[in-house]
Amino acid sequence: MLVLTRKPDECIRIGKKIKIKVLESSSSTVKLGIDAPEKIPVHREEIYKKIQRENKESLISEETTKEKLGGIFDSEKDNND
Amino acid sequence: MANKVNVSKKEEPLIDEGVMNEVYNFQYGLPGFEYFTEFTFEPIEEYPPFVLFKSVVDENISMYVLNAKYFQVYDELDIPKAELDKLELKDSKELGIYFILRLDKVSQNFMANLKTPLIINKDKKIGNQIFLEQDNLEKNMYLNDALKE
Repeated sequence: MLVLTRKPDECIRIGKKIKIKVLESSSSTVKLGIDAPEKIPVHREEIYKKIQRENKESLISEETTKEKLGGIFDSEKDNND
Repeated sequence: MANKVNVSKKEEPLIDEGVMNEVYNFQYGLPGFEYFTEFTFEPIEEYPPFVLFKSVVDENISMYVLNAKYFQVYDELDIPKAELDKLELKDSKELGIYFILRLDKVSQNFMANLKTPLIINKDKKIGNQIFLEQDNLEKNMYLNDALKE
């Protein structure tokens, strides 16, 4: 991992289009400002990992048969037809 | 957000026909499936209005999703402008919002994370999964509690 030391108001550039600026720092937190093309998703790491985990848990498996969707909506078709 | 439609779970199921069976490009994939960028929405005929959201190239990457219009929080969803801009929306009618469902292994009931919807541009056939910072949205809500009566 590349390690760089920065002070408040100093920046890091990643490629041509991404700039990360240290806005504030204290003993326990760092506030960063990120300029990146709007289409590039930017997430806090722990939130991104949680979404990754939940998405994987959401995959349909042998356990998640579609019959388990039954009984939630009144509109479902009568499967005995 | 304009074009709010209240949909009760007792009413005729709403399947957004214009969305179904079309290929949607998720440029950055989904968290956990970053290399899968093309997905389709397919109606689950036996259990409307549930929808199958699946990868075009790997059918094992598939999930149940449900239109956000069925959820109590629908009117409170506040999609950031930056996220709407990414979808190149010209009209709010083009916006579709779906929640991913996951089975709680203990209770065997479906849950949804209301903070992490899929948002799509129905016209341009592009989409993203976003994270909503709203404090009023539950991260783990049972479907039976989350749906409108």
